[in-house]
Amino acid sequence: MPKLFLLGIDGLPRWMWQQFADSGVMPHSRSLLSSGTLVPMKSSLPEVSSAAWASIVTGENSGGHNVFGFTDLIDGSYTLAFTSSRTFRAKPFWAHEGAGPSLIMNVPQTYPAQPMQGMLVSGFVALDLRRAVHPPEELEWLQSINYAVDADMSLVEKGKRVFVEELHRVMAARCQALHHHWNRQPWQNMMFVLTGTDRLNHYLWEDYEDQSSPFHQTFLDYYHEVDVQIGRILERLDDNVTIAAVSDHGFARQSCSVNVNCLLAQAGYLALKPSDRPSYIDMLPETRAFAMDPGRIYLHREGRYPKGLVTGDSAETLMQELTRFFLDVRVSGMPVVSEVKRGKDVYSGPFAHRAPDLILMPAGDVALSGRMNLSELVEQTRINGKHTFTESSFFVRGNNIGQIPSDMKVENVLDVIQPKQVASRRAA
Amino acid sequence: MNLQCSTTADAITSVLLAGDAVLNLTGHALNTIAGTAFVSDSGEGLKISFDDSRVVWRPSHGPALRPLISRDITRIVVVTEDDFQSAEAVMDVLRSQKIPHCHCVLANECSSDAFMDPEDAEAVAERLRQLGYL
Repeated sequence: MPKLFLLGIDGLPRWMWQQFADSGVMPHSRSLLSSGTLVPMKSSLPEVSSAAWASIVTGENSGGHNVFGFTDLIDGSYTLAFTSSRTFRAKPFWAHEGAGPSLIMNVPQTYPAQPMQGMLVSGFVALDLRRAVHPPEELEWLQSINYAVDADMSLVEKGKRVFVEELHRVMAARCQALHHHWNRQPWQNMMFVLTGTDRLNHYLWEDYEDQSSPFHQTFLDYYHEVDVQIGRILERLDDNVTIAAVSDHGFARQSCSVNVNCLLAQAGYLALKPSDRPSYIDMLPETRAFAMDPGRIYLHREGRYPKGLVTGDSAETLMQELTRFFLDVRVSGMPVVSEVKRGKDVYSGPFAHRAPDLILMPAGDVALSGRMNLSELVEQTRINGKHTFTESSFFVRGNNIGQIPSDMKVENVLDVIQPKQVASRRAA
Repeated sequence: MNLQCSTTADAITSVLLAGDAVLNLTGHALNTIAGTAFVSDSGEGLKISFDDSRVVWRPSHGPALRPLISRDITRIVVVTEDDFQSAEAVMDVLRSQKIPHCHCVLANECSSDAFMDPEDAEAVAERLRQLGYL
């Protein structure tokens, strides 16, 4: 069975990686990309990291692995909960029988760390390093190098220079940990995710686009450092290792963030009782639809939610009405939604019944949010880059790889990089 | 055709086909539609009924399965939980009697233990706010 190194570069668009490789910002990437195949890949729906990484590591869409976003409601209630490694209802590739020893570092949605054969350090939204490490005896060394489960995002308030320094510090510690643990045994599978790229893109996208910005070079320098780390990894891998590199979504400019629950409330689809901290539990029975981050629309269905009154018979009519509403709605004269997808057309698997009824695809530079605080329709934020469904990156090089689908999606990654293992699991 | 699958009590209808009778060996009610055929315990054996039914499996039920197959009932869908000890014994009976069947293992629902611990919620929410999710 060929060994695997799967590199994750959170939020790196395919076109940007190719552009940086060609322009000399990422010279090691130029060499890597010319030795294999780089294609654009579609993200999960919606295009959030939790669902997308879950698809990449399980080979399922959200209907199969049960992660639809960073938030969800506990079944049969209005209690907002945050998805975790325990939300997975499909096994990641390293947990399958015969997977062999694996070194898994900084993969989002793997917190708290679950027992596995090998070593795992959880990624975003990991909170406490002590619960992010398996086996626990590896904790002490990670603490000794000041390994951080995440960058201190509050440093954004202190300015972009300080913020990017923090991203560099976190990346350096993560890479130090990767190489330290790499040396310890011949791993069958390694997966290592760099997430600073996503944070950089969220907060400095405007500086990337504006070549006169004092932080334009800062942006390029960070990607150059990512490339240096890619070079260090490549020099340790031989031709017998399948090398894949993926991002979970693309990126683009964000000019504003529109609160979808505000839109629903203004149009009479959502009604909340007065509350200092509005949440889903404040929804009144007359609510017919509500949103969760970023553009997941759920009908307030009878039987699914304690106060829901939308019957199965009326659901189709309501979905048609909502689809027209979202496609027509304008904020400051701009369209907000470019397309409305149906959950039943998007998801398959045993958890598809937990899926949103509709998924909104944001229009143009607009980002969508699912906050229940309805005080602002257009939200004030420092974020100026947003995720995109299209143009995430998929690169692969190896001798035992499967065919790359013409319409490559995050849930197809394992089909390509571990085709024999996937086929044997499906046959079983 | 014999199959194994996994689903939830809420999504069981996605597994069922015309001609199926559900042998529910779990303690859970299944979210079926009206008219779904169930295998139920008649006291002396097994019978087909159209009311939500659960069966506590006994080895003596084995010989009572074959007579349930008819022009209207062509397959038995056995629903168990993951840790049901007698699952293999039930499947052996179905295989030995050449009864078309599907073994459906109920996956867990998403109760609170599937999510982040409640005491972490505020810290997670803050992280997600910083990235614009909340």
